Amino acid sequence: MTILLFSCLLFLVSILAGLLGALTGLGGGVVIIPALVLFFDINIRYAMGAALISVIATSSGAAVAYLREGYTNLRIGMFLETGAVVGAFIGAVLVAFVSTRFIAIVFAVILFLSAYLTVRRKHAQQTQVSSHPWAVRLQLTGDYPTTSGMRTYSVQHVPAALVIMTIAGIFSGLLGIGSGALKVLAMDQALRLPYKVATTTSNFIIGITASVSVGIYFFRGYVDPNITFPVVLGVAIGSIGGAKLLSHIKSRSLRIIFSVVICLLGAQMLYKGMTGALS
Amino acid sequence: MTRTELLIGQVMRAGLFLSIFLVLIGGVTYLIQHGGDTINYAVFHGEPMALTSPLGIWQQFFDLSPRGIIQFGILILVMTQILRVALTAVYFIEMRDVIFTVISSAIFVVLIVSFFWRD
Repeated sequence: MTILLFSCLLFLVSILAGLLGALTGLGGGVVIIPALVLFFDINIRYAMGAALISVIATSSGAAVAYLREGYTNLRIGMFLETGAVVGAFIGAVLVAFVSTRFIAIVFAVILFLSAYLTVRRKHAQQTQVSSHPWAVRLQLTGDYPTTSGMRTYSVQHVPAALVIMTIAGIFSGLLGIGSGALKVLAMDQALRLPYKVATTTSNFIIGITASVSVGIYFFRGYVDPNITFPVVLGVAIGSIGGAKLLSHIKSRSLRIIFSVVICLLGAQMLYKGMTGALS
Repeated sequence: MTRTELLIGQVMRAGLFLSIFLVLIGGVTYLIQHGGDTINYAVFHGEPMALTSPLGIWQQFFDLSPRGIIQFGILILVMTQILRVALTAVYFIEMRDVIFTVISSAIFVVLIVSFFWRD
């Protein structure tokens, strides 16, 4: 395949990655890695480098729209990010002592379970009015746009969410990708936030988490300009488009899209665990 | 939403657009020169030293090497992330919120340290 053809095809795939990444709060890596490895026969290290950059581009492309429309909860995002950063550090230390193949299989199981939990939650309206004491103390509650104007929401189980975020950080430190799925889960299942608040707040912070590893990725030579060039352009276009779509999509549809995408991620992890190929 | 909150989003988008601009120039130039070559990335070779460190990328950028220009654009995108966390800290200082100022500043320090960390 010529470089010109490769760049054009990868550009198109990256638009889709940016679109799905911005809508689900997962970033573009979930689509970028299997596309590069399976369809273009690119070495996994280059694919991981490109995926990391795609996550930062997705986060940047969609953030301004989500902040302006009032979906993103900056306080919740930054509070939970501390758990992810600490976890990422623990994961980076642990990586020398544990089998990443075993970890990948455990993570795959967690992802399939997350997909099930995400689809199962049907209640669009929050039933509880009062918030967890920590949420009150840290002023984590907020409001978000609905078809009938701005609506306030409560915030539950803050300690549980912080634990899930730390685990998300450990997994991303160990495996390099995939922490976005657990971030959305922490905010959806533990904090019980409106679904779009969970995905947009995840979108805001995944760029920060990815930036923590980027120095090392550059230094190891994982970031190749020829591969990242079509990825950054495509993902930027896709994520800006995705952010415009969000307010027109029903939360229920978004849950289904999210579940399909994390099942795809789960399949990748299972493949990684079984073959040891993606290490 | 406040002025600073919107500013954070705008800085992120401005960084992305500046990055896209550079990546596009470098990428198109590269394609004109090498578009007909065959890709081969099945085996990992790493990158030349000049494209792995901020200083090396800076020099490649001023040599107007197409790959150096792309890499510089990527570096801009990453540095925008550090800048937006710094702005988030400023936002919480404006709000006189001690806990969140500490949280944002701590994440900022982790980003700076990890950016220069070498294993």
